[in-house]
Amino acid sequence: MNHTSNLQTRIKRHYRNRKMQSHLWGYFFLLPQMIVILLFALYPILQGLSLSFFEYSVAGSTWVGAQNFIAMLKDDVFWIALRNTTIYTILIVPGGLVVALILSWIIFPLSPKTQSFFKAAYYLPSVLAGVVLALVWKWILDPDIGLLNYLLSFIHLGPYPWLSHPDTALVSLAMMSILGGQGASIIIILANMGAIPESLYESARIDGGNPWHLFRFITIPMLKPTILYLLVIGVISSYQVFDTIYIMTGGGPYYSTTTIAYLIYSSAFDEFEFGRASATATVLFIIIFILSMIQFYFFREDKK
Amino acid sequence: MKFSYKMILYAILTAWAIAAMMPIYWMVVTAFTPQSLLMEIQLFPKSIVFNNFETLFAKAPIDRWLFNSLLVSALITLGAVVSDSMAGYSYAMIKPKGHMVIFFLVLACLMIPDQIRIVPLFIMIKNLGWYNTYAALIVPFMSSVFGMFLMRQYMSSLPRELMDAARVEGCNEFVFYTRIVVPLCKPVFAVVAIFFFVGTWNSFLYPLILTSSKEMRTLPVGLSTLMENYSLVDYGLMMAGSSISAIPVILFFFMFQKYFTKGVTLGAVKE
Amino acid sequence: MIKRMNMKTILISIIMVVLISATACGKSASPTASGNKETGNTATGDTATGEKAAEPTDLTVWWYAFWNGKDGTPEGWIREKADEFMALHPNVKKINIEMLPGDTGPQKIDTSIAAGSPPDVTYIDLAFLPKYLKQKVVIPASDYMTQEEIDDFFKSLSDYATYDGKLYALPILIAPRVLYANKTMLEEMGLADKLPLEGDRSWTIEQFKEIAQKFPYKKGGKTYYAEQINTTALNWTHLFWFWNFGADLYNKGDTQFILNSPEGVKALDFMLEMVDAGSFRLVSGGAKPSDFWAGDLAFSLGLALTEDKVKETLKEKTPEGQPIPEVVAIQFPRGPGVDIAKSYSGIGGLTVFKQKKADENHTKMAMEFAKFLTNGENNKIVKELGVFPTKKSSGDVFGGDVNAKIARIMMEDGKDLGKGEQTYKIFEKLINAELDSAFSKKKTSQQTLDDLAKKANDMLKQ
Repeated sequence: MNHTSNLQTRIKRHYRNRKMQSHLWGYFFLLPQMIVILLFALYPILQGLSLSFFEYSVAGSTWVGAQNFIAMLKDDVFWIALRNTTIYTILIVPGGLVVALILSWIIFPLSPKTQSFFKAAYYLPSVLAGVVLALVWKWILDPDIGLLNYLLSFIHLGPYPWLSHPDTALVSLAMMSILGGQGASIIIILANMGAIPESLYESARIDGGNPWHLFRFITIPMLKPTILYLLVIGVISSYQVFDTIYIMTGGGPYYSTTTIAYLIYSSAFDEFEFGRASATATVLFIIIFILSMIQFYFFREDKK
Repeated sequence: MKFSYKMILYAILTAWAIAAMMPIYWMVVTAFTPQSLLMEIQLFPKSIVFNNFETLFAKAPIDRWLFNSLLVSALITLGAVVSDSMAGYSYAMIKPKGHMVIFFLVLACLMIPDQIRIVPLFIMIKNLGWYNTYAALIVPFMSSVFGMFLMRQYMSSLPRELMDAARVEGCNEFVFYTRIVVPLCKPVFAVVAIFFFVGTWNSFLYPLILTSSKEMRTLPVGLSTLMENYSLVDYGLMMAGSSISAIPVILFFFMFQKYFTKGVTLGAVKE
Repeated sequence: MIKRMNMKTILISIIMVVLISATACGKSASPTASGNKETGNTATGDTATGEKAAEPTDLTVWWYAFWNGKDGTPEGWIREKADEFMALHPNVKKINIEMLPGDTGPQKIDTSIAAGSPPDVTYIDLAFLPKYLKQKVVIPASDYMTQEEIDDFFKSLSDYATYDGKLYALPILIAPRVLYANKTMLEEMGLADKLPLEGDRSWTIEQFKEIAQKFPYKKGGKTYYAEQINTTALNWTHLFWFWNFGADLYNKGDTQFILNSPEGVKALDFMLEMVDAGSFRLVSGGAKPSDFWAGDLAFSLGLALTEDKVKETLKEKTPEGQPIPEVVAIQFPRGPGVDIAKSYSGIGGLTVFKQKKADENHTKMAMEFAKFLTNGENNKIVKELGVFPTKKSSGDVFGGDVNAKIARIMMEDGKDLGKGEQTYKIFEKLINAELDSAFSKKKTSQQTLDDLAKKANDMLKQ
């Protein structure tokens, strides 16, 4: 009896030790990132966000409690910006994902050289600095001398006002992202597709599955982690879209393309109101965080 | 029937690809366009001039800027790949106690726009004495949540039998990581490397704020100090600058993209 | 082998990190100034001017790529001036120069102010001066200038940069606007003799009406208008009509929005009359405005350009097959009770920012440099950009060009947009939306302006 319980204890202790050792390794692996992020990202961010409760002034900020938040909620433009940002996100995240998945599915079976060509074609434009890309698209979408209307005129369509009309501006920007901004997603999806074992496809084909079945019942489920990534990062990025808007439309016309991130920039740098900007950023953060939680919940990996 | 279905598909794909390449094409064309023709729509350049490039090279230490960008981007990419993959591995495979809390804490940093961070970070850099140094350009950016998240997702889809097999054999985490996980993750390493290199190469705001002297500017920032003046933008000059800026990145892409391809990793898993 | 490769990578990266940190530590000890090597140090010792020898000090200047120096680069110009200045003031040992990109430069300026380390001297668009004044970070230039020096600025410019009786910035360049007229089109209609082409080219709105009433002018299937009123988004050139009827955006002190004065109503009524009669074209919503330079309109406001530049622009913009018209610059017509036509101009100027460690000597030198850059002689260089010098003593840099002469006359008195950022907000959100309701007859002009004033004043109170 003694002997057995001793052994049991020793086994238990062994596994506990392994577990603890395992945890220590876990923290060790996290360390490099933690140091950089904690010091240079989290800490300054917290400093910045704390200004939410202050009225900023170079001479010294004064505590104003929730005043920034109240003023923000009273501001019409805030709600317009929130609406715009949400519409934009709803358009480009699912839209872009579907486009990227379809394109990846088509490209995947091709020969490596052809794949390279397409990957390059779709991704390289995003290699250009955001400023340049925005200017190029601005020119393409110009109602008078833009390439798009020029081409459409050959099939007797348009000319459309694209960015200069409040009703079409936001949608034009979304279209620009869905059609032209999927290069990175395609590359990520393709890389992850490569990790799906061929054997799965083989057995499905033997069972008589057509390409659509393979796509729907093997590829997509196996890509679940990737899809979660693209969705979460997609929402986070699109809620913070700023550069392209700043260059292409400046938030107009008539605020139709003003986003929350643009408002934050405007508060901070057009008006030196860092307190207000921080308050808006805090609210933005809460929104994005909740959305991300929801996404993680829906895509949670069930333990086998 | 099947034949033509595929044909249509590939036709669309190619047309789309060409459309997607339009921005690059237009940028290069504009770089060689003389001032007078800039406002016209042209699919094919009517005349080619080199003076935009000449002006650029004459006016500025482009070679120094190129060097700076290369150094900064390379080091940041290296740092990011290493730290992101290690962190991603921990979240995906080891899952130490409290890892979800830390994960979301780190992820939360992505959810705040840059403008909030910029002044505090600037003050911090100044206090550290790093203003206008390579350290300021590199160290704060040596790790990224995007990369970590991507790595985590990729690694979590690796077959678990592998993990357990190795664990049973008693090798420690580090050995396991370097000998088995890393080689398997070449595709995602390549992806993160390229995204990072591109991202930091084009990064503008922080390099501008954190440097002050001509010698320390990165290429995009340096080029912009030459060109934009009082809202009279010389598009030809600007596109020439971006063309130069784009070349190293495009090269980098082609160097690394062969690692993207499928099938390289699967041999390691014995069914 | 794989393990070794990874070890190697990790090792290399560690070495790199160490090297970089070493470089970083080394670098931080070296001067952060780019100006150091090229501008060079000048001799120490007493000044030659006979003044008390001032303490040594350094200056930090942030500049933009405006115009080139003798070496053909924008940075070259500011360096030259820095060298010249240091020769005049040997106690200034070093002038650090940083070049900024045009669009994000202001962001860096703002960030550095917020971080407590602004530059000494830099350029800003004076429309944003109120933003900096609110934070009380600007040192008033008038504290360091003689009345004579201040008077050398064109009055409308120094007024623009004056708040509470103090001049806070030194205007350096101005892009004034004039009214252009398509003389050829008016000659066709037999109206060219009604243009004020003599003397200072000023005229009244009644005289303008004589011409405008003959529009719309139909020729060859196309309709030509006298002028256009554009209420799309950020366009506010219709303000010129308000101003020249005698109305103002703000009261003295910029605390009340008063466009709904009787003069303002008269102005709006005039615009309505012109639009109703078809003489003016109304551009609203997302419609594409007519282009004066492509020959669509008889009159248009525009930035002042020399006659040569006007000809160039016409060559570029006139559609193929159409003859290039003759375009002249005249003053804006003025309404009853208005003595001098009012115009608005984009004005840029130099500001000197407060430093954490207030040092009187340092501030004085910073001011001197700002004054040096904007003195009569140096100010002439702005013509390279096609804009005008701000100092009367710069004289006529455009060699007697007629358009420039008219512009300079209009610069004698002008209007500003009041509180820079508040006004932009009012423009963005309110003015055009309200004017649209007047033009679509939803409200009378008095109602429109009253509503506008009420909303604007609400906004000002926030």
